[in-house]
Amino acid sequence: MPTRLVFCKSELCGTNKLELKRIKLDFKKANLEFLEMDDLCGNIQEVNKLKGDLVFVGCSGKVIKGKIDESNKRIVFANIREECLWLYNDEETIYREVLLEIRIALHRLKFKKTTERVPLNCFRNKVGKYIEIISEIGPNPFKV
Amino acid sequence: MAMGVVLCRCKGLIENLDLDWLREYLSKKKDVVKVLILDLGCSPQGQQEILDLIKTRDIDRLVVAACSPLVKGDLFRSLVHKAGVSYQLLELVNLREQCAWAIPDANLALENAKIKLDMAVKRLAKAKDIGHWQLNNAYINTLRCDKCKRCIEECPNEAITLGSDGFPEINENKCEKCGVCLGGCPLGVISLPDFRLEEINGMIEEAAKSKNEPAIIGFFCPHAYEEVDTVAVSGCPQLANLHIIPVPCSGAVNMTLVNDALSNGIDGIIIAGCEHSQCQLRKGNEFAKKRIANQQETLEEMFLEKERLEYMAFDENYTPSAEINEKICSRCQICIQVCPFQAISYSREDNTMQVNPQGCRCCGTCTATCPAGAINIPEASDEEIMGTIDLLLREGS
Repeated sequence: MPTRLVFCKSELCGTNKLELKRIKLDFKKANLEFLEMDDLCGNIQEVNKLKGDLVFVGCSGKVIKGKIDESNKRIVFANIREECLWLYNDEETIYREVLLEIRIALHRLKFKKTTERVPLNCFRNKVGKYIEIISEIGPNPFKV
Repeated sequence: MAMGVVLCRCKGLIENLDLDWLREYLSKKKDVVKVLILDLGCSPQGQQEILDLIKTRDIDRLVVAACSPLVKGDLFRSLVHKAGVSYQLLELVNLREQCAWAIPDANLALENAKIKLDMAVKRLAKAKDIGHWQLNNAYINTLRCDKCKRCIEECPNEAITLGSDGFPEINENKCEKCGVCLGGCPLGVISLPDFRLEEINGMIEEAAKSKNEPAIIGFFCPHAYEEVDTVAVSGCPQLANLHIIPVPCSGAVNMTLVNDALSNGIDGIIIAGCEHSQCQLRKGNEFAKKRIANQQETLEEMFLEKERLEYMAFDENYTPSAEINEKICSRCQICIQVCPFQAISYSREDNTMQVNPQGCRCCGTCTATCPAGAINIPEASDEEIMGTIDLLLREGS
């Protein structure tokens, strides 16, 4: 399965301004599949249905990484929003930086492993148990 | 005092909160002059709107309720700094990860958001820009200090020495703002630039008004806070009852805060930090545990249940950990000596070096030190980094 480049085309983020044709031209020799989505944040469920190696071209991974299901997938984020679109005004510079970000992301993807590290849910268990204990003890007498 | 509040929709990611209701509610507060709802506060347009708000309404303190401070906190800090507002007078409210995403019930989430915003507004209302806050280290109010020297004994960085006048003196080059001195001070006369007991007290007062019962206060160190962000993304209804106050280290929690919380009617207090060896700021968690044990005794003497105060470490195991290549490893054990978190051990039985995945914070100290080059940090191998540098150099040429 070819690596998929998933482009977020959000008006609010400004990522809709990018012309995909130009980027496709630059990567025509690579075995890549190009996908466009109106807004990654608004289509998380659709995004989670995608399988295989994925490069999300849009915002920083920090923004939606938590919402994305990474099991059995290799996912890398190419942050063109903060690093390119919001940083530069000149169109040529933007395209140059966007291409570089995508190349770096594709390079990083080679080293990405699919191993899953599932949180142990210590927080939910410990705090949940603590709330039960406090509920059993009853309200703080000073509250009255 | 002119306080502004920015509520961010995070491009629709904060969808189960009624921000218009919150705007109405906050607009009635006496110190709040303007409440602004933005679609995306971190975007260039959003940033400009925040700057305009500060300029046009002479805002001198600002609440930004958006994503976790760990995501865009630095951006908002530098933004208000640019507008001439001291960063101590900015309060970031985590409405996205620890409220909208964590609490599925819209009513509970709204109540939680309201309390979070009340806490932020109260903290800023109590914040004072009295000049000391230009300092970037702990500050001792010598007018109230009784020269007990406890801070000198407890500072893990040996940044506090005895001055010629008998008062403790803080070496600003050594101070790491961990707050251990603040946590131990019996009179509560030590403050950090963005962590003052008076302000935290104000936050506790507001948290006690929560309708979500039992009302629990959590003092979370940055590591524990990050862990909550990670697990809260997939839903964590417990956060409806828990009002988290970020602290620089679990050792920075002064027990007067615990007493104040209980006297205000808070039902339980959690102090969350790191496990035994993992405190980045050294010893903070040990101090916290000792102080909690003492305080629990005091609570029992006051006929209060000791369970109301508890120390917790989560160890969610969400970060990748260092990997040792057994074939190359010479068992020199240098990695054991350099690991700041004591996460590596040697097993005599198997003659192998072992990494405790819950202890490892993936800092890479072992990788950089290993003479055999046998330790790898996932997604930061030499090959990957050199390949990236190569790409950048090619682009440059």
